[in-house]
Amino acid sequence: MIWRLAIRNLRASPLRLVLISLAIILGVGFVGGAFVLADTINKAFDSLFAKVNAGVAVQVQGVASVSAADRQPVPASVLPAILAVPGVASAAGTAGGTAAVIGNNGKPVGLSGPPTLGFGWVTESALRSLRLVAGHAPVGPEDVVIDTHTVQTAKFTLGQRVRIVTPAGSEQYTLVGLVQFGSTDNLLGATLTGFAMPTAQRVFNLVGHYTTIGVTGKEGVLDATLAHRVQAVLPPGYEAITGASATQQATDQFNSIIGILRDVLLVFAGISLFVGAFIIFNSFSITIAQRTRQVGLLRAVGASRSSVIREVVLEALIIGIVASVIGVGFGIVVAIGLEKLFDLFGANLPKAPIQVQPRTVIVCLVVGIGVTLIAALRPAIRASRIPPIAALREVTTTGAHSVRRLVIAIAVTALGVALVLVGLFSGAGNPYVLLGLGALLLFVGAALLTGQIAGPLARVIGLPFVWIGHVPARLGRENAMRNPGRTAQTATALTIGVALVAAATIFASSLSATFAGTLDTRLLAQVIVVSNNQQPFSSAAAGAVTGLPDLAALSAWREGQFRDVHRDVQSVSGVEPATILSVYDAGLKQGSFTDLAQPGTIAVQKDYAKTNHLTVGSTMPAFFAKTGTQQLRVVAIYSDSTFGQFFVSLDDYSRYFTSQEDTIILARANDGVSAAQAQAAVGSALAAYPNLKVYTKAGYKDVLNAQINQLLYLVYTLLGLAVIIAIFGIVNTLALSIFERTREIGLLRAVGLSRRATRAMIRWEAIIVALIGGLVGLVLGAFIGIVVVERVPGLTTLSIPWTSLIVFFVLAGLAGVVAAIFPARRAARLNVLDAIQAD
Amino acid sequence: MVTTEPSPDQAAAARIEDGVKTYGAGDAEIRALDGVTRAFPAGRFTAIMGPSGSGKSTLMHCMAGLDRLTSGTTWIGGVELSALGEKDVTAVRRDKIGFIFQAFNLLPTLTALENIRLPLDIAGRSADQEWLDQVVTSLELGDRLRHRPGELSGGQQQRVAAARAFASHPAIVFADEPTGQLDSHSSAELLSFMRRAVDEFSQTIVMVTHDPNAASYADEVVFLSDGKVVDELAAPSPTSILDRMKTLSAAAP
Repeated sequence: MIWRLAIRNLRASPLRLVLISLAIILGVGFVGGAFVLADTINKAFDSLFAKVNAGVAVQVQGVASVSAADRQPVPASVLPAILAVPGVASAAGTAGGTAAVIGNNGKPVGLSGPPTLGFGWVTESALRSLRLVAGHAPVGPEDVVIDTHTVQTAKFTLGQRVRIVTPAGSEQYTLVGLVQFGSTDNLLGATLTGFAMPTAQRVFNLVGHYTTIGVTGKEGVLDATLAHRVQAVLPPGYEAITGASATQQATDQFNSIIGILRDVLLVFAGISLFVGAFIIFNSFSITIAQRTRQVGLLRAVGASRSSVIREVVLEALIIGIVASVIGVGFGIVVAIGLEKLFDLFGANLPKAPIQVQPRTVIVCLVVGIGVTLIAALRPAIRASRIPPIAALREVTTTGAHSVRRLVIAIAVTALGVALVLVGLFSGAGNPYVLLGLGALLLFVGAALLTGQIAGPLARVIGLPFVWIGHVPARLGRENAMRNPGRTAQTATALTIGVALVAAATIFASSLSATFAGTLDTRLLAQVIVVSNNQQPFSSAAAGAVTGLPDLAALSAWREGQFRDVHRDVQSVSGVEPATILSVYDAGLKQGSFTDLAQPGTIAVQKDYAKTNHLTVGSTMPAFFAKTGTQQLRVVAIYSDSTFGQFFVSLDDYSRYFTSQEDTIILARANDGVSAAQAQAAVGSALAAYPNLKVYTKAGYKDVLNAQINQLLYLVYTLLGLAVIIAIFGIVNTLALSIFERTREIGLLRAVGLSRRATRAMIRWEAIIVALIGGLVGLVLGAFIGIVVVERVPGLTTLSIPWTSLIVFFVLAGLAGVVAAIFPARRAARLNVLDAIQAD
Repeated sequence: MVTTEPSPDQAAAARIEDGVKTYGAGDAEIRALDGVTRAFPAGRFTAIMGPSGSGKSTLMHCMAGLDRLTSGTTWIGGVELSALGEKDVTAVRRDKIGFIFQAFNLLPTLTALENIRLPLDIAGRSADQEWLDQVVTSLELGDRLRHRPGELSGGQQQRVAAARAFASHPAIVFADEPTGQLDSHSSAELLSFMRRAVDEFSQTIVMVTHDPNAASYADEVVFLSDGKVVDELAAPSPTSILDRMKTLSAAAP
């Protein structure tokens, strides 16, 4: 019986069913899509690397004593010892580094994001990851092979000369062959190049060394056994791992990137589901209110309170199950769509069949059904409180203004604020859990509080519209004020999206302002050189610029890592002691940067110095992967923390680190030379390095801003989903309210309200509801944005982008207009006579 | 059987000619109005009576521009309503017609006064304040104007609805069973106001009712049966109406 009633009730308003389901389908779809995509990519990488590494029984490499990036190359001299190990069939070294391929048009080939990877050609095919598909292997010092995708994109032909920038500098090579990585044309959009081994060792600063040594075993020898035997002949600082472990390390590296992508998608899917929960809650609340008589009748004829609850929960359960199942299907579509999107941008993913794991399906169903049930629970309980007498008389539902509700609303909001603040500032446990929970409570609290003030809020927001829109606007405003709880719940769906958009914008704006401020005050250089893909570049570039007549001073900049006295990994910059302060104002407190020219010295940022009791003259230990622990003498203490906490001289850097590539070059123009002139001079000196970008300070600022904005737009896009769901929510509430008010609308039409004015009335109501959502969202977003900016240590400048915030407010109103289109048309089309006589 | 010939020179507030309204098609066709021709003179209070399904409500809805005839024409004053599009019909309703419905049909969000002024506001017209005061006073609503419908009794709500119907000086007021949900005391109050509106303020009212007592307040009663005007009675009293109804139902096949 209850079952039949639930089905009938669902079928009674198909529109509500569709709108609620859409909210769930979209949210669940993105949860599913995130898992499916990540699993599929993981699977693809697993099988790709497993295939590539199939022949490797043991891999010899430097121990990651500081970080994986700092593994020391293996001396070629250990090769004979390895070959002598019993059970070893063959062994060969590999060499790898960065190699930017320059196209025929003089511009770097490939995307500006993915890396440019260079390899030494291993003759032993079982130990080589590159597979030749055309031409021949690189043999001569100028031979090069390039991946098929890059060759096709750049329209290279076999036998032509190709310019490639390696750590050794910018040189021309002859294209002799096309290769694949394992079986894929390309690796996530990276460009792949292969040189003859001696060439690779030369250009990657590996002369007499290998990046790793691959070993194949004889028949019947276990990889683990072989690894153990090889380990025994290695000098300290090197390790022999099985091929399987090496594959695992390679995949883990990629999978951690994919994992981040997945988690980001999951966060936004979660936001969408949260918005969806509000819509479900609201929708059930409205329909229960409309069904008061029906429920009263049920109770009058003997239904118990619990069977009323069961009926509503059953409805939710049916919606939840159906929508979640569809959501899983939609998730697969989302995953395929995203994969296609990657391909479209040239980031070729290795292919694997779509992976729908049981875990994905279970999570989707649990989340989708769970959210629906939780959201419907309170309306169900409320329905069960309807007295049997409601069947017989009109029970008017009035927006209760009880003090208790206000207290609860304030308490929940306060708890939310407290959790956000504790999460941000206490440094306790896992800040993200506290933050997320706080934000959740904050929104729920805001919805409750908005319910208390929605009436007056609608009155004030609607005031200017009444002047513009006359009677329809006034009627719309009255409707928005009529049921403040409902208005608040509907608005809150939009509030969430607007708040997060506003917070992200404030954060981005503050980030831009901080960068701009730092560049203005700290950066004394007029010209900045960086690579096009954030990868380090050949130090030969700095050599090409050094001594230009237009430049007064110049410092190249290298980044490396070490472990400090606490065994924590720290970043250190190698710079030119004589010129660094001419291009960068570090805010010197004590000592002198020129003293860095003395070997074994270091400059330390004042906060680190203070906590570790360092002053000029004291020594601190630093463990480098290449050299082991060094005792460094502090010669300078400085205040600025933007560019890291430690500086050493480039000379010392070259002793502490194997790789000698620059991340940035800062140059200061001579007096009387304009920034543009200096930029032009540096640009022409670096003509052989098209992979490097030469900026003036102003241009560099623009680039940073553009990068921040790009990220911001991505966040907007992802939050767009939540906003779309919120618009569905407004449509749903309006449609249900119109149904409820059929008679009123009929009356208005009877006494002369035109169709057009009827539409306008609904539209004004939607605009006011949406603007309430927008306004509350802006307030919450400003709060979240400001506290986050206050918390993040690097962000020194708080910038509130007023124009953007006003635009968001207007856009929120427009969302209302869009949401009103369908319900307004429906209201205007009501047959006057039917409407007046409707029950 | 008596019929009144429509004559253009007679000051008819509303008129219907050869009005036919059918529902459904084929065998299932129902003729709710079967060729009704009648004029409702200005300054008169006319009641329309008839058994359930006689077409009395359909007649009123079509004349008031709430519904359309299948064939035939209707006029409000000199305007042929049946020739107008939806937009213009809406304008005529707004400017020339007042309505009182059985279920009070007030907007719950508006105060009594706002409800009364609603048609004027929709039309963007300013109220004739003197007239409005007169209506409000004679309906004894003066101290209730700031209340919302939920705070008024049924009788008070219906008086607000009546005030709204008359507020814009309409050419004609259509009342559909206005006393259907009122107790006898409230009914009497409302009906005497309607009587006074005709006598003292020269308003025109057409009222559909099945209550002989209510109909007795009218100047004349038109009887409908099976979609046709079958009889009429001038200066009716409850008893004379009852008698006539008995005769009619006896004459019915």
